[in-house]
Amino acid sequence: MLEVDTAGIKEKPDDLRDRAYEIIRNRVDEFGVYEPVIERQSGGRMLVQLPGVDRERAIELIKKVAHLEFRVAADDRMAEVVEKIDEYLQGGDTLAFDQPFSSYIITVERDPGFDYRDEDSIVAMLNRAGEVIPEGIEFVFGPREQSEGREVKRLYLLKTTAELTGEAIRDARHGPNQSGNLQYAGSWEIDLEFKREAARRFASITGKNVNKRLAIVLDNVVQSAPVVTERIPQGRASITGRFTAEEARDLAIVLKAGALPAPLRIVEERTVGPSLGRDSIESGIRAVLIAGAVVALFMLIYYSLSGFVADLALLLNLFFLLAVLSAFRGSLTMPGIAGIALTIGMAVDANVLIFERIREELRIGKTTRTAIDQGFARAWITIFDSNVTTIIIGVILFIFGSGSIKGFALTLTIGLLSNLFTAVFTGKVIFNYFTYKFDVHKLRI
Amino acid sequence: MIEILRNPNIDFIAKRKYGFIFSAVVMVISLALIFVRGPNFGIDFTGGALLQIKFDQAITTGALRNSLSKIGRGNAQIQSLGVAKTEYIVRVAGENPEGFAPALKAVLSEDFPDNAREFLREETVEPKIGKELLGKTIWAVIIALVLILIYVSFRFDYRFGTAAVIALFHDAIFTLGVLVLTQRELSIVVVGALLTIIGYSINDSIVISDRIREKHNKMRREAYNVVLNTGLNETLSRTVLTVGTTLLAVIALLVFGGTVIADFAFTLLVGFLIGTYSSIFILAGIVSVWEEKFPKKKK
Repeated sequence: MLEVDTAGIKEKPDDLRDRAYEIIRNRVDEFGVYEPVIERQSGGRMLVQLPGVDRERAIELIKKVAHLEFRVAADDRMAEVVEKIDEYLQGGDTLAFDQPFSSYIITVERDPGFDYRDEDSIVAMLNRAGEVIPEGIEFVFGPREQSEGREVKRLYLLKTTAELTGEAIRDARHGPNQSGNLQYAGSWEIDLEFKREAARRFASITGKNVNKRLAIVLDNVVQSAPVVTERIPQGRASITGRFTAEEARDLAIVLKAGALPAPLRIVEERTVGPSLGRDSIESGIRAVLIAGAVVALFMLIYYSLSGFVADLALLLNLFFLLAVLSAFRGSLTMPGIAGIALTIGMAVDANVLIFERIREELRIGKTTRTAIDQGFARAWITIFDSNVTTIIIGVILFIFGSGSIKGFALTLTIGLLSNLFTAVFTGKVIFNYFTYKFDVHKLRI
Repeated sequence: MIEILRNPNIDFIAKRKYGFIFSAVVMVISLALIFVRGPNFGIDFTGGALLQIKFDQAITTGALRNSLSKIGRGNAQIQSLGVAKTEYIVRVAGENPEGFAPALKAVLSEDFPDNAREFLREETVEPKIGKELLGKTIWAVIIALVLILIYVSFRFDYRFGTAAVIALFHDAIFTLGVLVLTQRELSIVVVGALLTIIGYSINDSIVISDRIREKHNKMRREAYNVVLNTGLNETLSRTVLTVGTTLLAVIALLVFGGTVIADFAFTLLVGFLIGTYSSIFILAGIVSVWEEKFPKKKK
């Protein structure tokens, strides 16, 4: 279960949630899961069920904000800005850092960078020195990577405004790296195709920034920053990095489906391992089948042929219930099964009520046909009242309950509505048909 | 024709005193258990994380707890499944459940590198969601009970309505008391079972009330307690049959259903028995006392 984190976003929460819902649906559709469930829940929450998917991968797929930006690098101002920061941090401040900012900066394959262990210091310094960093540019980090035996991150100085964002993307695919850049040999890349208007903008941006670097920033991490060698008119670009085939594929999916308008938080998560899932489904189904068979057999023995009619009505009821459930595309949870169990109980009870009533009528000497008519008529009042009261519970729980309580309410309400029809109406039709057709005088009940 | 009961004639109303005493005692004990000891709320309601782990080779609870202490979760609840000592459920309640599963996985691969394991089930619930679920469910049940009271009062009369709702509370509290006593985990599944019991109990009450209503119209000259007794006795074979068949089904669930269904089936088993008892002794008993103290004017 997911919650859209609307904090700090100006847009109307409802719009945000609608868009987040659409995007999640697109991502899941693209991912190609068999029978996914994506439901809106009350309170702006969303329920996503993905059968047969690796847990970490599914979470990554859903939670990734996937905010993509193309931003021009301000490499020519790097030296100047670093110097300013050093001056500022040394300048008479009692809380000065031990080392100057520049001393943390190392070289990662010709790019400036820093040791991963120094990240907190770097972030603290940049925060403190915020006012000396010129308007319109900011530092952005690259992903964690290995370089010469240590973990590092690259450091980029980028313009704050994005030239293009993920909205410009028409299509995204993953493919083997073709950049010819040896450092990414054997890895995968994501090939982007821009929308028509965006393609023109991209051409003009690349034209204006020849010999500068154009950084591709995903969720505030610079994935790569290739140097623009010439104007690119075709409206294509690719994101290279150290992606595996799987990562590249998932990233292509989220980029194509679009960025989430706000981060999502997982408020409830349940994963069932495949073996336990199979196990509990099997034993659940087996138990329900055995329970059903025991009940059916009992009715058959106790009420003989009439018991058979009751069993038919019960079967029909379950059939209706499952048909309606699949029309709603509801998924069966344990409370849902509880609802079915109560439905079966009440369906059997309806038949017991009818049959006991018919027996009573027969006992006081009524003819078979009158006994059947009277039995159904009298029992109907009882069955109606008891079913309606329980349906009240069901409807209220459906409206006010949350989560899987709704599942209980849904199966129960549908089951009882169909019970009113199957137990009473269907049962009576079968009884009438056979007693008239075969002119039955002695009822086996 | 097989018949379990033929024309039973039991004076239930005369025995109502025993029913009241029994129920009163049980209510006090149940409420004491519920409020003093408290239900064993599952992570569905408290928020928290749950992992079900199956190891290749047996490991001791102590070893597992040792690993849990290393990640600062020494207070986790450990439940061993089966006798083989290979399968465990680990639960932690409370804040920040998200980090628990990765931390446990990491420490387990460090502590037991040679003991392969499979994570059968992983659940995390934020405390906020759990509280919300509990609150919403309680409200929904209260609203449903009020509507039932109105409906039954309208279809029968307010005495039956009130008595039926009292019987429902009785059943719910009784069953909850048994759950607390046996320290079964109160999960969303068990709440589903409690709701089922409420549905079943109201059904039972309505069937009996309905027959009493019918008898009341046909036996105008008889004393009210005779009417009640007749109604109860005439529906007795139905009561026994319905309870019997439903219990058969529940026992099948209990025996063949596996661990997850077992809690559910156990709750149903207890609740159905109590529900049947209460429709006869509590519902009819209350109505009969009511009639004696404040007789309704006969037409």
